[in-house]
Amino acid sequence: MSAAWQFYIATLIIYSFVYITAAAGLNLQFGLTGVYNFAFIIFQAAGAYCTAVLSLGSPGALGGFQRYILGLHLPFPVPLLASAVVAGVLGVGLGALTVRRLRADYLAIVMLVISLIATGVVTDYQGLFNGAAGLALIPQPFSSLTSSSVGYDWIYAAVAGVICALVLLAVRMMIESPLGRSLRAVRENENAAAALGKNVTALRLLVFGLGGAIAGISGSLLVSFTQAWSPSSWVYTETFVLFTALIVGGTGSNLGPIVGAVLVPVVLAEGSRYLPQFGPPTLVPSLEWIAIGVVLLAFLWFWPRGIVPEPRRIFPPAAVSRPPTPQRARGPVVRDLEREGGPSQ
Amino acid sequence: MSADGLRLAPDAPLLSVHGISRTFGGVRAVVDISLSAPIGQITGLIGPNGAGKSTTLGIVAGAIRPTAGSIQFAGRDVTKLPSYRRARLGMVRTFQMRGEFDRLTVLENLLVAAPGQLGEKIRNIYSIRRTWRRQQRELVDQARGLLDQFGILSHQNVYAAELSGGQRRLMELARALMAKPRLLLLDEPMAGVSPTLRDRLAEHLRDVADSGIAIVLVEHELQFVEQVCGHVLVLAQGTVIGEGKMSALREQAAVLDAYLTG
Repeated sequence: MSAAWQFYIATLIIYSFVYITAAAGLNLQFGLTGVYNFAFIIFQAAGAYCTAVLSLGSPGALGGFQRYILGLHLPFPVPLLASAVVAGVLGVGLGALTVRRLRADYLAIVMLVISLIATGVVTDYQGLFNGAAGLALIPQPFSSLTSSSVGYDWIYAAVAGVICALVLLAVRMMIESPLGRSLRAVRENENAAAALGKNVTALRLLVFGLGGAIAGISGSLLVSFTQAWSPSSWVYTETFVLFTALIVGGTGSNLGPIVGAVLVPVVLAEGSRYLPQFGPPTLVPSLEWIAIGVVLLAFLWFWPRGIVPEPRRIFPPAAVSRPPTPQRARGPVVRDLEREGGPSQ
Repeated sequence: MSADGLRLAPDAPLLSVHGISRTFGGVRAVVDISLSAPIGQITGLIGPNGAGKSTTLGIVAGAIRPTAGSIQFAGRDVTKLPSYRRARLGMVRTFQMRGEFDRLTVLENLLVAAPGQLGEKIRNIYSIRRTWRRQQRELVDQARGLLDQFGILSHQNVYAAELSGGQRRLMELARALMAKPRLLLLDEPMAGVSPTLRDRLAEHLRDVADSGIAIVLVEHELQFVEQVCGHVLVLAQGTVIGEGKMSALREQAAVLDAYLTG
C-alpha cells in the first residue's frame, strides 16, 4: 500500500476512534439519561484547547505568531488527563447553571445558546486561544518514537484505539450497573425517579461531568493528531453530527455509538469526497450537511431506536445466579410460562 | 417493616400534616388541610374532581411546595425537604397517571426503587463489582418475590409500557414496597383496575398496612374506600368538609352535597 493510502486509512481510523469516544460520552448524557446537551461540542473543544496550551510551550518560543494562555510544555499523558478534568469540571459547572431549573427542551435551547456564546468568546478574545485563526503547531506526543510519518500515524492510531477502548469499557460498566439503571429511570420519568429517592439533579450533573470529561478526552486525542484547532473546528453543527451518529447507531446501547460514529461522521462525511465534482465548489460540502439531516430525519421517523437498539435487560433466573438454596433453586422463567394466564393466589 | 429507629410517642401518628395550603396563581387548590396517618392504618382522601386530593398528596410527598403549613414525619419536620429526601426517609408515593419507567422492564422498575444500592455509587461500580453484583442478585430475588405476591411475576421481563392499566397499578404498588416504605402515599390505586382485581388489591393493601406501614390513599371508587380505609377525609374545594368512618360519612348532608353538586 502506498504511503498516501496508509496515511489516509490511518487518519480515518483515528477519526473513527475520536468520534466513537465522543459518541460514547454523548450516549451517557442523551442516550442513557435523556439530557439534551446541544453544547456537547464545546466540551470536546475545551479538551482540545486544554491539550494545546498544555503542550505547545510558551508563545515566544514558537516565534510569537500566535497568542494563548498558559503555554506549558507537559509530556503525554498529562495534557490528556488535564483535558478530561477541565472539560468535566466545565460540564458540572454549566450543568449546575442549567439542569437544576430547566427541563428537557428548555435545557436544549439554553445549551445551544451557550455553544454559540462559547464560539463567540473564543473567536473574539484573541489572547485566550488565538481567536479565529486558532492554534497551530500543537506538538505530536510520540514524535520521538519514530521518524517515519506513516509509522507515527499507526502508532497514534493504536494509542487512540486503546484510550477509546478504555472509555468504552468504563461507559459500558456504568450502563450495566445500578447507577445506569437509575439514569435510565431519570430519562423515562424524572418525577417517579425522585419519588423513589433518586436525586435527579445530582444524577444529571454527574452525567454532565462524565460526558464532558469523555468529550474532553476525544478533543485531546483529535488535536494531538491534527496539530491545529480553531473555532471553525467546533461550530455548533458538529454537535448535531454526533447526535445524528448516536440516533443512527442506537441510543442507550453499548454498540450504538460505535456503529453510528463510524457510519455518520466517517463513512457518510468521508464518502462525499468520492462524489464527482459538479456545480459550484461549495455544493458538495453543502450536500453533505443535507445528507446528514435527511439521515437524521429518516431514522427519527422510521427507526427511532437506531441500528443497535437499547437491549432489554433480562436477569438470569435465580437457580443460575445464586448458590442453590432448596426453596429458591427453581427456574422462574419456565415456571412463569406455566403460570401465564392463571390467577396466582 | 417495623417502626424501629423512630422516636415517636407510642400513640403519635407517623405522619401529621398541619394546616397546609397551596394557591396556584389566584386559585386556592388546598386550604388549611390537616391530617394524620398512624402506622398500620389506611387513611382515605375522597372528594369530587378538583377537590385538592392529589395536590394534598403531592404536597405531602414533596412534589408540590405548600404556601403554608407544616408536615411532620416520624417526629421530624420534613416541610422543606425535596421529594427524593422524603422518599429516602420512607415516604413513598405512587402516581395517578404515568408513574412507570416505560422502557425499563417490570423487574427493573422494582430494582430502581431499592434503597441503598452499592452499585449506584460511581466509585463502587469499578472497585467493588462483585459486592454490588451480589447485592443486586439478592434484590432481584426480593423483587421477584414481590412480583410473585402481586401475581405479575410472569411479566417480569416485559417493558412497563406493555402492561395493562391494572398490571401497572400492581407493579407500582410492588415497586413502592421495594422502596422499603414506612408511609405509602397512593394516588388513585384503583384507576384502570378491573373489578376482579379490586378485591385482590384491597387484600394486598390491608396486608401492607398490617405489616406496620401507614397508608394514605386518594380514591374515587367509594366502595373500595369503604372496603379498606379506617379513617376517611372528604375534601371539597380544597378544604376538609367531613371526616370519620366511611359508613358514617355516607349519612352526612355536606358530603352528599359535595358529591352530587360537584
